[in-house]
Amino acid sequence: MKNKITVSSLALVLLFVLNGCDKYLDVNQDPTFPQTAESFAILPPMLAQMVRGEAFDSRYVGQYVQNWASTASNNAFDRQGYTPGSDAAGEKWRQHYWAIGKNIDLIVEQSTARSQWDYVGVAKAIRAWSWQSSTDVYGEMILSQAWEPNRYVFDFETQDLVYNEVNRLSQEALTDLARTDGNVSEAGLGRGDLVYKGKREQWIKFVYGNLARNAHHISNKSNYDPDKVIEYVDKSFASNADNFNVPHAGTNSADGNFYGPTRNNMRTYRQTEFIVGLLNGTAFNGVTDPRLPLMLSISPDTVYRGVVPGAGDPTNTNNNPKRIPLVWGVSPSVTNAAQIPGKYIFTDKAAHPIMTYSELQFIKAEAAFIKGDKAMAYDAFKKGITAHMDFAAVAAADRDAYLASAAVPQDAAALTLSDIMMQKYISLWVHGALETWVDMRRHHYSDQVYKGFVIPATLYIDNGGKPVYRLRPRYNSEYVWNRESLDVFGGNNPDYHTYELWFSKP
Amino acid sequence: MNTDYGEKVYLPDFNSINNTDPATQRDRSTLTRTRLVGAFAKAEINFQEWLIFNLTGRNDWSSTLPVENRSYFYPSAGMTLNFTDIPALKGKFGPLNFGKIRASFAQVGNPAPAYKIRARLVSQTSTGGGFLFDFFGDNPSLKPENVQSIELGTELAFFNDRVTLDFAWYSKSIKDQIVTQRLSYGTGFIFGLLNGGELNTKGIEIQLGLTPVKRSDFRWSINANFTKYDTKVLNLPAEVSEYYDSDTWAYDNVRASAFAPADVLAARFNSPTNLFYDDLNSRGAGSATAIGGWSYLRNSKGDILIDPNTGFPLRNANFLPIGDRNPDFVIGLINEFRLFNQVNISFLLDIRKGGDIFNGNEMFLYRNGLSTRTLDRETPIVFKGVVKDGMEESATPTQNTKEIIPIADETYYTTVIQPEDFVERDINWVRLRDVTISYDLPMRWLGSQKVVKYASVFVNGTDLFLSTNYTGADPYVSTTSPATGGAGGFGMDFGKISLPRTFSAGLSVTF
Repeated sequence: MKNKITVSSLALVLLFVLNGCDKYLDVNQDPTFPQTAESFAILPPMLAQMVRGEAFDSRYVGQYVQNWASTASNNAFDRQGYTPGSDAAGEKWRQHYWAIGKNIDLIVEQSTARSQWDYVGVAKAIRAWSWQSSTDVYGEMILSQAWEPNRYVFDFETQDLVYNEVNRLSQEALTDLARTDGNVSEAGLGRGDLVYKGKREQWIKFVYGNLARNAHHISNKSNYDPDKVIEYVDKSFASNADNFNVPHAGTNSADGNFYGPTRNNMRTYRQTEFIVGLLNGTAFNGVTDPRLPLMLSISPDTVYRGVVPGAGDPTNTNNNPKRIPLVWGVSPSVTNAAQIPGKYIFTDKAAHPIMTYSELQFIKAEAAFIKGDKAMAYDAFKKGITAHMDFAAVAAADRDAYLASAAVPQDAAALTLSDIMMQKYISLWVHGALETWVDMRRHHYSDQVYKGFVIPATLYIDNGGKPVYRLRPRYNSEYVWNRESLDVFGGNNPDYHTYELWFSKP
Repeated sequence: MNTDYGEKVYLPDFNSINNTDPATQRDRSTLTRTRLVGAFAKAEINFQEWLIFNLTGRNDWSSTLPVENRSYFYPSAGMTLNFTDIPALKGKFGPLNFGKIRASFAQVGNPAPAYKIRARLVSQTSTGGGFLFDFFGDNPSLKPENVQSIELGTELAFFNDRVTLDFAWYSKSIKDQIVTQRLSYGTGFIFGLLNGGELNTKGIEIQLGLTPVKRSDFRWSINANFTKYDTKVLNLPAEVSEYYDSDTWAYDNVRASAFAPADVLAARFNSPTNLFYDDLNSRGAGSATAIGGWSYLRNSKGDILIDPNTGFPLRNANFLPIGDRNPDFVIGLINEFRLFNQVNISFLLDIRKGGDIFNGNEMFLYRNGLSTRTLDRETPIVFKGVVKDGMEESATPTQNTKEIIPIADETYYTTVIQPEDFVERDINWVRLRDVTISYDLPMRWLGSQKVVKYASVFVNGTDLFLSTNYTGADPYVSTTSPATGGAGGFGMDFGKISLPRTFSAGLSVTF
């Protein structure tokens, strides 16, 4: 039989010479979503994300520092715990690495190409602030390997290195913000700058404010330099007009203030007994603070009450005359946000202060106090109170009467550390919970400093009886996808959140 | 066509509705454009119809890949031997009247989705609007994914096709699979699109046809399909432990997942305390069809740890394998009878052995006090386990004795109970999928008209009978539709109802 071999088909078709082909295939740019943008379009949402990171986590940290507490008893955060397997209290991580994250690099890249050194400086200032405020809750962070292309497992680095990075980046930011060449202009920066409207000198003050935090948070260390802190404060904010206020349009829940009624984020939280005590005179020789009615809310029976963290709110029933109102000043039975005007910074349109003049004055007061310069400490202390009274819209006469009352030491010699820290606590209440937590951890929750402050008797089970000292890195980031790196410093241990951070150690 | 409206254009040179203030927008548009160019060559060598070779080669150029990786080649080769047709051997196989052996090897390359080389920016609704990077990271070094498969098979027919057998064995490997993977935010993004993941599926398929009776007035034929396969995860991308399909994450902390092998998980999760327990978690480890979910904390001996304050078990809030959905095997069995050249009766039985199911419906009902298993809610119970009091790893851990009354603490239902309790293991079933009886109407009834050539009446019933050890409504469930792709959501039972029992009767007419 004759072998029959059939080649039934053989075809090789080259449709294009390679050059033409490349051009034909060059359609991989998204026509509906940009893959790059100019800096003025990136800066506004970045400012909003700074607030988001602070506010989301402040709600939990506010429970640690007893700014407010849950209406339900045995809430884990009230008891200085956390929620396992949850991203609750993981927002700063999201903010630092993603929400702000590489957008900073995009601004630096875009603005360097356009010689917009003001934008470059602003981007670095924001990242420096983000490192500082994030490491202050987390301690160890992903530092030199962060944002590295093609890397999926990240080593953590110690907090002293993050502190160094804040300093290095701040110096770069100051250099860039000082430049007037190229396309630097108030109008140009003002297009994206919702906070300082393009004024570089205010951004420079913000950088110094952040450096003041950086230098001051290590107050327990032997190399702490109060003079440096004082120098930084003096170069930073000069009045409330310099406050880093991020505005809110307040038209819906996406552009409204986190603490406003429309977002409804504070519905299950109530003012604590501790903050009520600071303002109703309990902590300050019986002098009622004029900020009391402006900041806190009064029950129907005209008594200011607060909850004890962990105990829940025993008054939380309909028509109870003792019922503690919502932070917006209305009864919890009011559920329609449109009927709630809000108060203090609990309104939809209220700006969120990331850093205030009063905070910086209290930093200066403490630094000078530690240094031994009581006169300077006393001066800054009174400026701090005055500035916050103005911030809270206290009438000048009421303010001056309070400053002259027994609530405030009347000369420098009578000033105590406790006075400074408790007034600072009041001035940071709500928006500054993270900075308050830094202070409380530096002073190890001392009831000599924070008079009347009581750590909950029954702490969260995983605490092993120890108070909280840090937030865990975001669960759906590090605990799920970078577990092994956490092991190096005990990040997977159940009591990891009680490990003291480097900054507060001697 | 899109009709878009928006105000306040941010970027001057970018014409898209997404470049306007979201508060002013009335629509949103998405347009995806990809181009793929292919060159294909094929050769077939046919040797006297009993030995056939096929060879193909293909090169693709894709617009969605980086320039240096955009061109990729993939070949295939196949061989068929009809050995009963070899002239020298013809007629020498006894009852075997037909026999064929086939073997094939094929590679397929797949390109990436569009626009993934560079991350995109999305418009923001916060005060002042603007743009920020989206969740999805960029990957400028993306490669095409590569699928390799080998198949060996044989087709045999005996006794003039009264017995037929088709057997196939296959192995399919996926390398450089392009996956959207959640990662550490240290990447700067929430998801990465990356090459990674190495999966291997091995399986066999057997099809057996029998005609035991073949007479002029009675014919009985049987057709049986046997399917068995197993997908092993050799590697997951970016050194992660789990890959999950978010569409299957329908209820509580349970989802259809693929997990790294057991040794990898044990190394990752057993430090500093044991979170990976061989007894529980090795079941779905290394499986592409695992159930990933939360479970209870245990000591290294496997005793559940109890909170001394509450008396409740402590949870293991890590997604670890708590079951494997893959069945041991599946059989489809068809019996057909034809009587008196007029009556046809057929049965289709569907048989499955093994495979775990997450009974989310029961968990939901239990948590809401609607399950009969919650009737004892007022009866004090003591969780079996050891107290986490520091002695839990010692030789004599403290046995839990704390009594709790479920109804007295709502958290028992809302947070204490973990999905581990609602994974039902080794679910088998026999299901009468389809029964049809039809009767061909005698031609004489049709009379001498010339319009209708054939007519029959039939009754049909589907899913009339189900026997299973599953406690839920129906083990044949999936949380996803086939459109989701991937391994799918079979074995994830939440919010699904059982297949309906249907009856139909009718008349079938041929004109």
